[in-house]
Amino acid sequence: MNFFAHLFLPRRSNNYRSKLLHHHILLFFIITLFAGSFLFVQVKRNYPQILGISSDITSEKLLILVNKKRLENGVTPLKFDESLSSAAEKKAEHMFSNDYWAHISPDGTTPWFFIQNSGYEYVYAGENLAKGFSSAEEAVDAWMKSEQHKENLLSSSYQDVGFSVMIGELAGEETVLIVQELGGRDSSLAQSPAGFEILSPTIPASVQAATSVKPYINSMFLSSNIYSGILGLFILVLVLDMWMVQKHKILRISGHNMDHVLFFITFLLAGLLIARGVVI
Amino acid sequence: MIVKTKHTGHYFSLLLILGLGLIGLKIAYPNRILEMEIIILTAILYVVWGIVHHHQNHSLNSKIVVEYVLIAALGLAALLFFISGAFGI
Repeated sequence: MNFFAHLFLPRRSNNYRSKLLHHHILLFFIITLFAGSFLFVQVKRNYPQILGISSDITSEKLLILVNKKRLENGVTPLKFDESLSSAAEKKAEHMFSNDYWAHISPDGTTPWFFIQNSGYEYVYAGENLAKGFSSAEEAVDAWMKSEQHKENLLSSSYQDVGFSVMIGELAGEETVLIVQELGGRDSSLAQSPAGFEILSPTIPASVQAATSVKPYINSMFLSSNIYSGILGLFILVLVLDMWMVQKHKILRISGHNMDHVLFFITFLLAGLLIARGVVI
Repeated sequence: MIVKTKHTGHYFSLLLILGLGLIGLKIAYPNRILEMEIIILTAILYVVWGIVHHHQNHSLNSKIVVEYVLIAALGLAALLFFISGAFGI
């Protein structure tokens, strides 16, 4: 108990400044975090089966969520299509191998090229892309918030859909990429949504297996927890230290804890802003 | 009263620096390099703000400068750790 009081509260044993706020302890944390960053990258590169990004996003979850949105908006649910799914997978592979993040590749390859090559004969076709999302719900919500993507998701011109969820590197950054290819073979096939309900979609096991390769430790989860844990710990210590100093009217020469608390809160928010996913 | 007004002005400027940093991040997204530049600039401005603030309060000394530098460096090191884990960069 005394040890924790020594770490967290200003008292005689720590010269009336929480031990965790002493310069050499701060320096220890800084050096450990820098070394940890280096180690993190090395382990991820050399042992991706142990430490890497993993995702619980599956084609099945995406299909259920998309169809839920369509039903809520009075549109016929989409059917899972293996050809469109294969087109989505080829598109995702093409993006990773050519290192681009766009509907049309730098060499001019359009989404329709992948859809046609998959054998799907479309009258209408569309594509939605998303990257960096940690859940299917977040990705579908982001599509629904963007007018263009929402229009695609809710269009009655489409009857079929295929997804690919792939992990890889874009612009030197490891990310989870979601490709959604939408297709309509015949506009006269568009049906009334009445009578449809969300059922567990039947998706071939081969498609599901391709989206569920998992390392032992999810590095995104681990690093974000350590990040918020460390900043949270220092915010707590600073607030406790500030409270005790005011309560006991301790006079000392140091920076203002309130400044540091505001700074760390800003960095916590910065982490949230940096980690959010993006759709195009 | 004068002291209070001075503090209010100082804290307003600190909130402005930190708030602009967050707005900058929102605008820069998803340009990772620009995001990093904005984060580093925000941390540097925080240290400068701390020095100016304590100088004007006549409480500036080397220990306080080191404290602001260490706090800024801790924030940056933690964010670097997060980015390394999350994106492998």
